[in-house]
Amino acid sequence: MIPLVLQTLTYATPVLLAALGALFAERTGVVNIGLEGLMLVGALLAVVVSASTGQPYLGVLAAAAAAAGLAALFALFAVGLKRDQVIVGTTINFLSLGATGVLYRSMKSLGTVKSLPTLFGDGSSAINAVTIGALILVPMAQWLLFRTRLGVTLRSAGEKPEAVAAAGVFVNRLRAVTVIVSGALCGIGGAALSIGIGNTFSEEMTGGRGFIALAVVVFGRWNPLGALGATLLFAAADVWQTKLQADGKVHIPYPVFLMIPYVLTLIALALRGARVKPPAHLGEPFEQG
Amino acid sequence: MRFLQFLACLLGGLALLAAVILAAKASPLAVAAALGRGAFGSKDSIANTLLQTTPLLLTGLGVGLAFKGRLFNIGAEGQFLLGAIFATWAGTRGLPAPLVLPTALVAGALGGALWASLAALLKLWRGVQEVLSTLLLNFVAIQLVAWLVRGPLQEAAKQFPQSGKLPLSGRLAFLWPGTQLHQGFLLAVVLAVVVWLYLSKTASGFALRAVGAGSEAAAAAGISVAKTTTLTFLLSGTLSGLAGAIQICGVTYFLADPYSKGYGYTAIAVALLANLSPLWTVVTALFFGALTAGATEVQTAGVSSVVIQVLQAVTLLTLLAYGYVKERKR
Repeated sequence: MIPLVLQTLTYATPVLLAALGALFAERTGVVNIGLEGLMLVGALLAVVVSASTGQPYLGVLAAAAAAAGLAALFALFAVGLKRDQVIVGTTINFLSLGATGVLYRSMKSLGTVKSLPTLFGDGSSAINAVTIGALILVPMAQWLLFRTRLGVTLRSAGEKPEAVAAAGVFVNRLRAVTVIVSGALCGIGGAALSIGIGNTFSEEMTGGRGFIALAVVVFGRWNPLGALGATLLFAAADVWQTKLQADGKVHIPYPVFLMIPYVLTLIALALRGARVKPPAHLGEPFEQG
Repeated sequence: MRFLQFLACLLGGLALLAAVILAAKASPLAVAAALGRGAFGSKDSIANTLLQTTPLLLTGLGVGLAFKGRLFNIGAEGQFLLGAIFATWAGTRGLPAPLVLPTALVAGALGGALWASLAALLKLWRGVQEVLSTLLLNFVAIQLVAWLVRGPLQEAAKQFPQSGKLPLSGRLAFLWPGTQLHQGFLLAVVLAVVVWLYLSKTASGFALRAVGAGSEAAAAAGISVAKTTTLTFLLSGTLSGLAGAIQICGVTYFLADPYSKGYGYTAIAVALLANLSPLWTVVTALFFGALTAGATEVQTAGVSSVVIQVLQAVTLLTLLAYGYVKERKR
């Protein structure tokens, strides 16, 4: 039982980090479907830097930096130039998918990729520092968002941006910084996938985890603890089914099995959907007077 | 002045593209030359350009229609795949010869509409944002194809992960002798005109544009937003589904895994570059069709063909930047 719980935590980490990032950005009024791309770039950078330096933690840092840079590009277009957030996010996904593909295929060989060191546990239940960090981040995020002045400002930027602006805050600057920080989290999420769960990169390896993270935010009601709950639920389902499949107790055709996380996410959205209220100004650009 | 601004945006975009190519240790000029060769270098490559244009045009029309109604249908990829699945299923049922092709095409269109209707249902009934539902449905559709070609739809020989082949009567006739170009291309161009007529000349098309311009104002004017939203989703899905069916009946004749080259995603760039205008979509689909066809050659210049996705992103960024510059001018 305990190995399965630990494995669930490791599997949950990439989505959890991305969801936490997305949650903050959405609270300030910015929805970024480019999450998927940011994670992918993080995943590649982590592998490359870990292989070339032999330092997996440097890989995590590089992943955070690269994804933050790409998030800055998103912020420039979506917040600065006030372009449609969905379209800019889609563009970021194209860019990441293409650029990681081109770069990865141009590399002859990576050498040995060092994965994140195990803190405790072993094999499939090994726990690394990024997972621990992500778990610590959840209560911190909850506290920051609901118990601090900054949290009030962040939430108000998505609910009543005019009021925040009237209080002398530059709403767009706040949004841009939040998006960049959220990008760094997505990058670390990507690293947790490529050098946390395994030690390799493959094209499109994020496989929609960025989109699932967006759904987790909705399902968790834009609330860090809620997002944690939703992520664990999905990861547990994932681990449990992998186990069933490996034990040979059930015979689900492999593709049907791969379909399950997406179907589950859709069902979860449908169950929660109508009752949930997103931040009032989510997705809308703001014109500071 | 406006031209200069456009040029500045374009140069910025090209610089970004060159940076990615240089980072992959290849020459941007060699890549450009290879692209040109792959798209227009010979009779076959020109035919291939038009062949790639066909699904891009249809899915681009579908995406454009949805976006015009302010529905972010990012699910053209999934709707395309459902179209291919339904067309394959209907086309291999052993129907009387004259019925096979029309049945397959109609079934494909229905398949796309069905997939889009799921997103419409989730949006209207449960308030689920279509951006998320359509994206997730794409992933479901990809696995659905993977399962079907290894299960219920697999070829009789059960050797490869692919479906049985369509009978000759189910295949679209060739348009340009000596090449693979089929009649589906013409059908797509005709449909571009039909969509243009629908949007600009019919009451239903007007309702779609009105809801797109602002659902509250449209509702105040007596337009049923729910009905219009549903119809927009269905039409959008129909076009993408038809694209999948035409790909089956005109190009591959069977379903395989993976099936799409990402046409449904490129369609977003196609529609946006056309500023959501159906007639301009013909031109932008041709542009991206040429890029997709040209991509087969870029490997010879030392870059992988996924460089096309960078090109798409760069096109969109250029477009977004130019849109901003134009708006500020006013």
